[in-house]
Amino acid sequence: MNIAVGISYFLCCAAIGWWASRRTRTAEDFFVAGRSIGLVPFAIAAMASTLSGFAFIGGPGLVYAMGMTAVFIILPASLTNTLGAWVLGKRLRLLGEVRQLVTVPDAIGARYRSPAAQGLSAVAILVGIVGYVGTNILALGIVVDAIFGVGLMPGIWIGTATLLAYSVGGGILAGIYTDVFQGLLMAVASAVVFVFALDSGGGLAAITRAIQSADPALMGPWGARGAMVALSFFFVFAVGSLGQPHVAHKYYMLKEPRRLRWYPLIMTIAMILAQLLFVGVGIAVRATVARGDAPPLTSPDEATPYFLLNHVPTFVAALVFSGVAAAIMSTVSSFLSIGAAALTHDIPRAFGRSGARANAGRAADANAVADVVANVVADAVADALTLKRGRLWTVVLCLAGAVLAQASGTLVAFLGIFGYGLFASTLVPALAIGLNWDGATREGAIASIATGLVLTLALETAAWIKLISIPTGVTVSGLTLVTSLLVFIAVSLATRRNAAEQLDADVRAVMET
Amino acid sequence: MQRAGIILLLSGLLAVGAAYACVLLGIAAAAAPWWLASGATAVLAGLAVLGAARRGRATPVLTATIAASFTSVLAGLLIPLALPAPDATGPLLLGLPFPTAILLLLVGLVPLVLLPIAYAYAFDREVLSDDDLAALRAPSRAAEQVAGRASERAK
Repeated sequence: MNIAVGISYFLCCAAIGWWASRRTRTAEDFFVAGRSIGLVPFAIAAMASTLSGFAFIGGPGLVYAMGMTAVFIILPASLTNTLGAWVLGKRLRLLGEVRQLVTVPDAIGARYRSPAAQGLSAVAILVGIVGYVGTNILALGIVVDAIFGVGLMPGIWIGTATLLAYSVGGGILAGIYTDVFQGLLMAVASAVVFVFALDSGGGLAAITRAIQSADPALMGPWGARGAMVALSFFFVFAVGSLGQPHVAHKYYMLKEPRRLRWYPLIMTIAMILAQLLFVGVGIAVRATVARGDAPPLTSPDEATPYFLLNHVPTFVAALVFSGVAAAIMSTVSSFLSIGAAALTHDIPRAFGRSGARANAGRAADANAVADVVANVVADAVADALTLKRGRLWTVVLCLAGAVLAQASGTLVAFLGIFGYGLFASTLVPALAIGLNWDGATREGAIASIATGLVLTLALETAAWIKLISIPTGVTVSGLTLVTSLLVFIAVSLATRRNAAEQLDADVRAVMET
Repeated sequence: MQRAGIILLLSGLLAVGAAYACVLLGIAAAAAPWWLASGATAVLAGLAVLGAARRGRATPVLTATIAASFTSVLAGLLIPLALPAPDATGPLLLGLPFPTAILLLLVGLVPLVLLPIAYAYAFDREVLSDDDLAALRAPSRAAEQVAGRASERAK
């Protein structure tokens, strides 16, 4: 049963990739889906790429181990689904249209009129992506092995081949529509398992009492790790959500900006459904162990596999395993797309090499007929070249991730840990605040991105090699996020005399709309 | 309104910094969660205020929603800090210990319902109207027309 559902799932992904590749003709199609995505696919795709395999495996494991503390990782979703549209969505979508932007660093470059800020943010994104892709491909290998029983290494390469099949040909267009398919699968699987989880424990009150009999703190408001850890999770995951490039990038793709009106509502409903498993399985398995009906798990990550194998029908288990693969693949494909865009578009631009978009802007202003013709031809050539390079870098990044996934488990885990915090500390100040505050300056943006990048790498590495010890309740990502935000505001205030002259009229119009 | 957002954001960041400093330096560690809860809420409220701000325009529905939502979040985080930790025999609310249920209702449910509904309700007047969009698109339409005429002359 598992194998049949698994094969059907992978065939569906490949079919969507084939369909999308036939519709991908330009670099704009490849990187921003031709700005043609409707509201519902957009919201479901955003949900699917927000949630990685962590929501299905690591998250329930953390709830099993820490109780309510881990719930603070997903609790900010009550705010962030709307805050994303409120703070980022409208302005990114409008700026994307006015300036024909294709990447998140593009927006930073346009906002501050600064190729340096654009290039630096692209480097930060690339550093974060390497770890994320490696970790997720490893997780994908584990899931493929669980479904087909082929072993970890073949599992990694089967997963990688499927990813390549739809990401390279169809780019982000394939990514979006596989995300929609995968997001629906995740939501259905999660909701069904949640019902089984409550049923297996005799209802929420019975589950609570069973867990309390073993350790009352687990179901207390802050869980087993206490208020500081819980609140640190809340702070980092709430504020950090505004700096996740694979989600922010999707705002460019929405066909009609006024459709943003219903995005928070749809995203919220989709997110609630997809996160039910996160909490339900964690507490249900903990209650089972507390009652003595099962031995303690050797690793918290076994919570979901244990529950699926012992408490749900085989078909549902197969559906969830496919849902896990879906969550992983949708996140990786989004990262591959923005990584390829950083390498083909943002970093060359930081070094003064303009692409097709810049030529398009010049064509609109040109008066001489010969200039217009020359620019149109140059645009077509540059566009074809960008599309080709985008596909090539997608292959390179995906293969690099697959090779990294075969490295030592601790190295992969280390690289995977700091991605979220790195994106938060480097992108939230310059992007989320910068697009909404006309007092922000180029100097502030560059200083905050550099601070976030250097501090995250230095502190995470020092903590990993045990050079420093961070006390419980303080996280590296929390520290770096606060520091980079303070640096951004302080440097912007100190250089505020430059703020007005760094804002182009069209960017100011977007910020004031 | 933008200034209010930045002040809220900055004071929130200083409060979060104070919380981390309390733990790192081992000074007044009991106060740290209170600083962190208040600071995190203020940072998020500051970001929401910045996002809602529009030059020369009032955004009464969004402002009221921000006030209501983040008051709820602050209360939801501070009330459980003030309450004693629940024991195994304490009362349950909706199947959860009382402080846990209060936290989930005020931090989770209230903004989850309020924010997206208020955003949709106020969208035309306070977020993005057809007129706003037309005004923003006017300069690029004009540039496209110029480029189109030049292109036709080339043919």
